Amino acid sequence: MSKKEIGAIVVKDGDRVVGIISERDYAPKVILKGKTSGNLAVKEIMSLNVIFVNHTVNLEECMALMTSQRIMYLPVFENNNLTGIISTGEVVEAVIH
Amino acid sequence: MKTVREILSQKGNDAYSVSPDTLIFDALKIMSKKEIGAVLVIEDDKLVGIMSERDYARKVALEGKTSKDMPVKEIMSSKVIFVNPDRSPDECMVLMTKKRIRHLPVFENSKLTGLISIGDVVKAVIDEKEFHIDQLVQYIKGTPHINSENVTAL
Repeated sequence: MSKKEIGAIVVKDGDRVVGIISERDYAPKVILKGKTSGNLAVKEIMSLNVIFVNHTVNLEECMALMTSQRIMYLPVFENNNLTGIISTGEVVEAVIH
Repeated sequence: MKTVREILSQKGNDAYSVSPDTLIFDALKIMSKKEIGAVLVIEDDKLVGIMSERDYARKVALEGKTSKDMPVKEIMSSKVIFVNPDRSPDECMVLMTKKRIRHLPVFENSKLTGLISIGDVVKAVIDEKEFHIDQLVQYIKGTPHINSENVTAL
């Protein structure tokens, strides 16, 4: 995440999306619980309910969804295939341009 | 058009702050409890920095340092970009995008009156419109029983 300068990663089991992990999961679920990231698997802290959008959804709908669900990242699917992930920052950047 | 002032009147003028010598661990506790992504760093009534969850992930965890013996001042961003309450959400979006930041302290007559996040700004932009959220929400229910070898980044 740091190398790619991203704030979240989709977790897959084979071809199946099974979770999402973000920067926000880290402090509350690892450090504040006295655990260390060196010996903890992603599955221990990932969010299991992955809210996603179809690629046809417009930017305002993404913003509405991010606001109502209090999330910063939305995986994007096209024909049941994961094709990307968009962040609040990217949606905002697209809106102002 | 809404302004930052109206965003603050809705969300409140609370801006959580710590001192530069607060332990990072204690700042993280506040952020987690209040469900916020950044805290302001204040010394002698002056804003001297801002610390976000991103500062933490990038500057502490990955460098093998520990949050329990490092003060906030070691990782805070000391160049703080702020707005005045008469700015519009659009202006805030432009500023946040350009500076690649997600939080903006709000100052009026040199006095700190609040802190807004990119989420607050987005909310202000879409609040005036109606959406059928229930029709938009789709989710995948994951399972925790997976092998860690299968976990791959996209």
